[in-house]
Amino acid sequence: MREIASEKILQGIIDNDSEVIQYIYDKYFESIKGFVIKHSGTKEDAWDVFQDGIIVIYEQIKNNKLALKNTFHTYFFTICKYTWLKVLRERDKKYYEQIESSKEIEQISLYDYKLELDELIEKEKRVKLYNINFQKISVECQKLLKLIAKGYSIQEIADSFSYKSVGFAYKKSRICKERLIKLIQKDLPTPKTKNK
Amino acid sequence: MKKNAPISRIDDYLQGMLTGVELTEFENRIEQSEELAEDVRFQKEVFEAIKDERKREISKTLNRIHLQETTKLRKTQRKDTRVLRINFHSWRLQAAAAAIAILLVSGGLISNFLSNKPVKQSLYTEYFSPENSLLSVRSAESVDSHIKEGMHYYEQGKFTEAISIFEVEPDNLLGKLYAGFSFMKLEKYEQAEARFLDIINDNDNLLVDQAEWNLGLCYLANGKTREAGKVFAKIADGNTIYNKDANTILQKMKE
Repeated sequence: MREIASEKILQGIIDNDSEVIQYIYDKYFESIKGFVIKHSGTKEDAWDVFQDGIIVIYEQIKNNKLALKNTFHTYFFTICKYTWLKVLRERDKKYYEQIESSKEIEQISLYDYKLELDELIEKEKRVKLYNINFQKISVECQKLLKLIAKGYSIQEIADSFSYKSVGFAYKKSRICKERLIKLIQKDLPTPKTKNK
Repeated sequence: MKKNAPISRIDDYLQGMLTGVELTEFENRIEQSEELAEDVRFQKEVFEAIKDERKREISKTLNRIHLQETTKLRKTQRKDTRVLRINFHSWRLQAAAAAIAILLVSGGLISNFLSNKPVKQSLYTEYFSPENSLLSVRSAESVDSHIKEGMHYYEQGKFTEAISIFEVEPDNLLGKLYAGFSFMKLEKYEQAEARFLDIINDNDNLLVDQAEWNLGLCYLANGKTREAGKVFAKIADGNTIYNKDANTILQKMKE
């Protein structure tokens, strides 16, 4: 397998370059799976951790918050291991405490990244939930909300969907948004809002 | 404690649609209420997530790759045993597929031929009256506000708009029933049939009788006489408000 330099990998992630993503998958997934399974996880857990690792890195690059101090290889492994340990800490505290002092775990140090990573991982958990629920609303609503997010005006939306009036387009967009928010609220561990 | 702002109000704020006094008042409320501030943060985060199309694309790429790789792995694991079976089975499969295709084509032709006999369209016109069904649900307090909004469009005769609202909540059976009525009004019977069949297949709900009755009418309107006959015969055997009408229709269909 040919090597890809760390900078190119980061660029490939932000560009959604499938060749680069395939490279990351081929090179790292099995090792990450090994780590997760070794520490009481499953194949599915490993897949979640791997995806979260990529998305966390994407977020960091997007927000200009990633300055690699080591290679991509080292950083990606550290993030994935940290993500899994965070899951373990919440899922199985006893087991986590048992392995906490092991040599392998001691090596996972993220210094100043730690707090930011915790926030990012938490946020990504929520975003995953938003996206899952986004897929549950009608295709028309999805398209409409995407257009709004892209900054299209209500008039443009009415034209694009051949709605008979701008008033209807506004009403439809409101209903779509309410539907999405309510679906998400149902899934959140503690309801964020109790409003209508 | 102050009442929280509705989702639409927070959205107006986030979209920059509040101005002047309204904006100042809303910002004051955010400052005073941690709960409202949290609601605003939450809605903002949701709509920022929608904006991030690239992130969804990356997730799709990842899932595609993972699926390809796991499928490849499974195939490799099964390969040895399958090699022996595939030749033995393939001619049988092909023969079976050909036989099924012939049956389907000829069956389809026969059924088309039968269903193209003079359609009882007049019966449909005579009996199609969803308004009778609507009365029992229109005043229901528990009806979701979106569905009520869709009903409002339906009552105004704006059936395309009504469908568009009902379909926002694809799992809502009442919305589905009304979407079915709306499609009937637009003479899009196939689409109406699909909605009624969904309700019937769900089974455990109070709308099945209405769905069955209207499904029968759709079949009539669509020239599917045989299917209509089956549905009305089932209704006639049952004990619903449509029982008598179903018997009458069956009689008229024979004439």
